[in-house]
Amino acid sequence: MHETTHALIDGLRERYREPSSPDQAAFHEGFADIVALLSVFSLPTVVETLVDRTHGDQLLDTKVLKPDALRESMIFGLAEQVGSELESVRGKPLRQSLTIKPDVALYESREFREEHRRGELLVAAMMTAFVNMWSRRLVALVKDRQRVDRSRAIEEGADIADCLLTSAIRALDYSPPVDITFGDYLSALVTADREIRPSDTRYQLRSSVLDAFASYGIKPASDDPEGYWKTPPKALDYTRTHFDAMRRDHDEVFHFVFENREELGLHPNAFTAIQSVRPCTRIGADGFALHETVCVYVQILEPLASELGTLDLTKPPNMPVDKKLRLFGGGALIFDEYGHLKYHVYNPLTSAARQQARLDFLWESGALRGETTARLSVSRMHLQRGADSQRDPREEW
Amino acid sequence: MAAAGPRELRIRMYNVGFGDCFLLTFFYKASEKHVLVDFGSTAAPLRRKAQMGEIAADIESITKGRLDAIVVTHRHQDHISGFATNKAGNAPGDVIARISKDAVVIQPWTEDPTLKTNARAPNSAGSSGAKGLSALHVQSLDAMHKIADAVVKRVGAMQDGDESEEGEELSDSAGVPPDGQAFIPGLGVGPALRNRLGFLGETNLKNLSAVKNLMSMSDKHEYLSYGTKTSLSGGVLPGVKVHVLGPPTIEQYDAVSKQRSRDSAEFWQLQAAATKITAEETVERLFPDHPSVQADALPVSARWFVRNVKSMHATQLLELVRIVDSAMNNTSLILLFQIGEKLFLFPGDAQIENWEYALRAAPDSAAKRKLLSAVSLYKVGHHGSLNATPKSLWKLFKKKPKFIAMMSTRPGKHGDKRAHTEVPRQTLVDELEAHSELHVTTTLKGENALFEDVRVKL
Repeated sequence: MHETTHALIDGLRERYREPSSPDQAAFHEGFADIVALLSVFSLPTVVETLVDRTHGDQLLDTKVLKPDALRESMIFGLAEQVGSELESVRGKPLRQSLTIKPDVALYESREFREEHRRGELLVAAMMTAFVNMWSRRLVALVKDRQRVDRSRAIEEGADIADCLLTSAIRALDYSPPVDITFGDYLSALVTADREIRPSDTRYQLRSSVLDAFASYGIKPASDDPEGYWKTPPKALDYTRTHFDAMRRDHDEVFHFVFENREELGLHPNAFTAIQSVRPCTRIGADGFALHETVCVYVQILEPLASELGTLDLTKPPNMPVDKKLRLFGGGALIFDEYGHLKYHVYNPLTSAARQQARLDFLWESGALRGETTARLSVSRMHLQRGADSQRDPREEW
Repeated sequence: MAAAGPRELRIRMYNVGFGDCFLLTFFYKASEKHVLVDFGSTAAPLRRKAQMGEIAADIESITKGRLDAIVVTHRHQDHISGFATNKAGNAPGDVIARISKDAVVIQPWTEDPTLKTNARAPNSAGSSGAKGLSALHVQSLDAMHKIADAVVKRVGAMQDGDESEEGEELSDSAGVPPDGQAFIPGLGVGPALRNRLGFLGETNLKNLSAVKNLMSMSDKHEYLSYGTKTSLSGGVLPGVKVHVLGPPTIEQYDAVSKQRSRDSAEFWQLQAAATKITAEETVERLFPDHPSVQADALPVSARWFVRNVKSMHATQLLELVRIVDSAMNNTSLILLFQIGEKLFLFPGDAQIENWEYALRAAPDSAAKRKLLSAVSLYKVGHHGSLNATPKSLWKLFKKKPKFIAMMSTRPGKHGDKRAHTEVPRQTLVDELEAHSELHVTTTLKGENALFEDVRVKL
């Protein structure tokens, strides 16, 4: 499951393996773990072993349903599920993610700057949200003040995992195609969830996820008070494009992007390409269908280090002036069923603050020093994770 | 105290090629004390083959047949190969053994032979106690040697001319083994990658002869870890204080970083088992009923795929051996000799994971940082590699006038210039040259090329 997810992310967002912020490298690994964990927990039989393994009474003691107790039994349960063969390769990092206690300082901490540790933070935030949602739902089911019906508890757990998993995956479509941060992903998740499940009174999924992420120091990237992506400018020009063609045709989407390049905040001179055009139909829990078209464009600019000034960027110290750099920008355009732009989720090439932070980080971490493009290697990351091998690029020459 | 202390310290840096060998001579009013720090080489200088023998002879004559202590920072070949003996009894290691009857042999805690006897299988119950964790770590190190061994065998199994250029190879020596011989599949990679694999593999081989010699040459052994006392301090060397700044024990390290030693022990056992199977045992066919072809008669449609799989496999092995190499480097003893106000730092090949404890995690790290800021002579870690002189350590040094750095190295052996991993790393060398009086073995020329002396008046 974990490995398949890597491949799927790579298909949907191929630029996530480019060197970027520590978040982007960590995202690949963290997201693969989240999908693996939540798919396991959306199976009722697995959840049953989690709540208690005695298979005894039909009524469960509320003790085992407190967030901490659930977390504990998940850690145990995982060790059993994964089995001894794969334990040291896969089981350990998964369990390690579950043991990270919430702390707002972690996101910025030194320990979690390294990509595989950082991925665990994303997993920890997500699983905290899961455990809290589940535990809260169970409170309502308590009978005679102490016990809860076993089947209902299991059903709720599996259902919540499934629901969270669906939104976690749909969030990929709502994420910027380059330089993703955990904050971007958080905004994408709550936005994607609202589109398909407008009412969230049952699980309070969105507020739970926001709270859980906040408890690890991760804030949504959108400055909307509830973390949703904002709607795009209304003054877009649709007169020269045909929506029907835009549901399939890269060139037609390119026309649209080109006609609206200023409104969409594109860099006027950078190489621009449409990466994908995907019509999609999402079915909500109530059977209601949501039709969208998700188009992804990417912009690339290759300045020399000496030209960074013209882009309002400062050359990192000691970087040679003739160093050839590669800057990325890009966005996901989400069209509604009438062909109008609903969301524009983007990290523009022109954002000096983000480009500067990325350059400084990559230069400091040594990723830009080689001739080769240091694209993220998944197998290498897995090997290092298994061996507990950690390096700190800032200590190197 | 000052009167009893040494008046001068001479550090003789021998030219061993890629390796370390330092002889510290402490001159007292009426006597001399000699401490040998490491003696090994993985790539002897081209000049002479008998270099190691000459060095041993020089050590014998300088010490007048009596070494007071031997410090073996860690078990890498480039630090211990000189201690190996031979049957004739005339190897460099035999010479050293002859003059070390009364010497204290000082090694990191990971070399403690009593740890091993306590070792249990990683999965067995009860191995999580204090001793258990350390024992597991020692087992991991053993597993790492096995991996290195398998890699070297496989690199050796390939004949020259198997491939012409990197990635261009198609022929396959991994066909049918001659009768009665073990099947060792070659790696199927180009010469550049093969050389790097071979070099890293050999560095990490277990040198049994040297290890045995070190165990038997003297009765006095010390296995040190962060903060432990050594008899060098004040005893063997009057007026000299010796601080042990690394390596931390697993228990010390665990307390701060929550590392999971048990899991990582399992990881190494697993990897060792995996590498062993492909290297030494007859490979059982995974799908016996499926049609197959000999490796030297691959159908044209499969060649591209097979080549890519082989190249990926080799790259992964290289990555694994690199991690092995780092893990062993991190068992390095870090010794700081203090004589009055002068401080001499010998960190072996320690990398940041080892240093992390002394620099940041240890309860008394603030005091240690203060001590380190006044270092007057620094033996450059790991022959000048990019990650063995942590930048935060380098920034600590006040580099007062007469700050000396000594580096024993040989370019072109380790790492890759294009990937900016070459040893010695150019940016570090530039920094050393700018801020210290730098002595490097590679600049030794002419008659005195066997060694270079640095004398410090105390």
